[in-house]
Amino acid sequence: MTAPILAAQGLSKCFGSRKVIDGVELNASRGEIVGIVGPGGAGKTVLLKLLAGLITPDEGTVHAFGNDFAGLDADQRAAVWERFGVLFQNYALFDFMTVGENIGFPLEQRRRGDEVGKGAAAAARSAEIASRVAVRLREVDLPGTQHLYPNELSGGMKKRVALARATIADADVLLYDDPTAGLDPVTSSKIFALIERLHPVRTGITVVVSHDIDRMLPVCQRFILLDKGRIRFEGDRAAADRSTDKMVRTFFDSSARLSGSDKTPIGVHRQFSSIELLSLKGGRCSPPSSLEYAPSGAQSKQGGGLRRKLRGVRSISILSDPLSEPTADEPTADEPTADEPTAASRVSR
Amino acid sequence: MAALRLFRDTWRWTFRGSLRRQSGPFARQLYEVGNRSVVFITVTLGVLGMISVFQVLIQVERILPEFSVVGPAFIQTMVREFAPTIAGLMIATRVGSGIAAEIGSMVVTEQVDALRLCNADPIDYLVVPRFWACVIQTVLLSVYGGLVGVCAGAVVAHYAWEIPWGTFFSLNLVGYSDVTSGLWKAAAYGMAIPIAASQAGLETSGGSEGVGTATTRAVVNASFCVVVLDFIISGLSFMLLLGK
Ligand SMILES: Nc1ncnc2c1ncn2[C@@H]1O[C@H](COP(=O)(O)OP(=O)(O)O)[C@@H](O)[C@H]1O
Ligand SMILES: [Mg+2]
Repeated sequence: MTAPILAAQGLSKCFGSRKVIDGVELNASRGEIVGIVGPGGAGKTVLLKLLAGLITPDEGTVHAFGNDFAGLDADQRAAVWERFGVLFQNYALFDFMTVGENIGFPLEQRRRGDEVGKGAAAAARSAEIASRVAVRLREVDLPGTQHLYPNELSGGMKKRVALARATIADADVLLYDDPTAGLDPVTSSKIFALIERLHPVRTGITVVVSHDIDRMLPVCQRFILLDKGRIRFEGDRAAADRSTDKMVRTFFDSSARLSGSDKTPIGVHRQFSSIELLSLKGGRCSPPSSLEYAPSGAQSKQGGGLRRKLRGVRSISILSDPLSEPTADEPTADEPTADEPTAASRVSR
Repeated sequence: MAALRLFRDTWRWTFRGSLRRQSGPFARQLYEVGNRSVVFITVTLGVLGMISVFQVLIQVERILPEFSVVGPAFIQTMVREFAPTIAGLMIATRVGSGIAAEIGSMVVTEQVDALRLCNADPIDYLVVPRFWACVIQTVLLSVYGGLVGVCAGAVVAHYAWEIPWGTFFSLNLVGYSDVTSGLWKAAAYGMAIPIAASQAGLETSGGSEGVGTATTRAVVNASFCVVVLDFIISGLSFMLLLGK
């Protein structure tokens, strides 16, 4: 095995008296795409920033390309950061710059570092940056938006501009914090396709934090489930499927398809997966009085039967915390299909 | 203290040519600071000038009906004290809150993280242009505010008490030390306000409520700095006068 590009040992971080990251170990080797999942507030964003050296850990170390962040001086750290590209959860687009300037910024910064060009050379370099920006913008489906300011963009557009900025400089370590939060399914798929295509297979790694399990599954080779600052599960998809941990099963089976951001409001109408309906059938919940279920594909027959069973349902409540899902560990032969929108839901009176 | 470190780093970046690189943002900040506070300062110092001349004249009329000294004495206090300090307090609230809110929301939306990751120092990019814009504008606005206050006072004196323009507008009492003291105050406020506000902004944590807290803290700290610096500089210039 090659030396890891990013290695975190015994990472801990407190904010006030709360331990947000607690003893996290993480190694990512050349060519890997690592997916990080976990409930909101589990510390995924903090972990990503620790890995990027933007937050200093209270305990433990982060090595990037073999260098310990804590031991680097400003110039060395600058050199390491030049090989990083990060898409931040809150877009982090500079609101005092246009879209074009935002995306070109990492390149401009680099130029400032090495060549203080004048005249023709500088003009040529500017033209090159502009053309790379234009290419990236086309790739994220936003051609010709260079002159707009971030406050003129929708959330989805901002995410895509941020993705373009994170990847413009061909970084070796790409970190994405919830790249598809709040995006429509078509755009989300495009973004994940782009993440896969821009992955530096030969030179680096990609780490994706997301709730979009369906789209992560085919892209990521390895998953980490973070819960309350600790690693609860680590392994590939097969291992996740074998796991007997309730939470792991919930995440990788159905509940992660709560999809969207940490901020998904409770109470939005969702469809239900066959698992939950099976559990209803098993009578583990008291019969509710109103429930909508739109069966799809293979499950429609079974769902139809259930619908009959559940007539007279009055209200449903939707859980934000997949752990409370009472039925997730119930064995079922019936895997929901990957593209079926489903949700963990508890049925209440 | 963190604010002192920020102050030192701001100067350091300035000497590394930060302003030349950030000339665009600097020009914009100059405009913003001026634009945000000019109406405020006109109104406050205008009203304050009118009221204080009015009050003083009522008192003077009772004690010694001799008005010739009112104008020069008023102008002296204006130059030495009111113009810079009132302008400073207005800028502390108006501009200080603006700076903290802007920088605070950049912290919350991770723009500051993104700057750092691109090896762009947030002090270089965000603080230096605001700092120098604030220094220059505080001095200019103090001078302007002083003029407004004096003119407003003169209008009251002229129309309500029929004091001739020439008698009121007299620089007899205004000495060199009054002018330098006033300018030093303005410059000191101009430095303290953006530093206090930027520091509050950079320390923002935890979502949009965090920005609100930072803004409040910026205004409180910046106003406090103005008052303390007023006291210190007044004391120093008084001691210098005694020493002569
Ligand atoms: N700068 C900070 N100061 C204090 N608390 C923080 C800070 N950043 C994150 N936290 C806390 O750490 C926890 C984990 O946050 P985060 O990493 O954003 O979670 P998520 O997994 O949803 O990305 C949250 O409870 C959050 O309130
Ligand atoms: Mg997060």
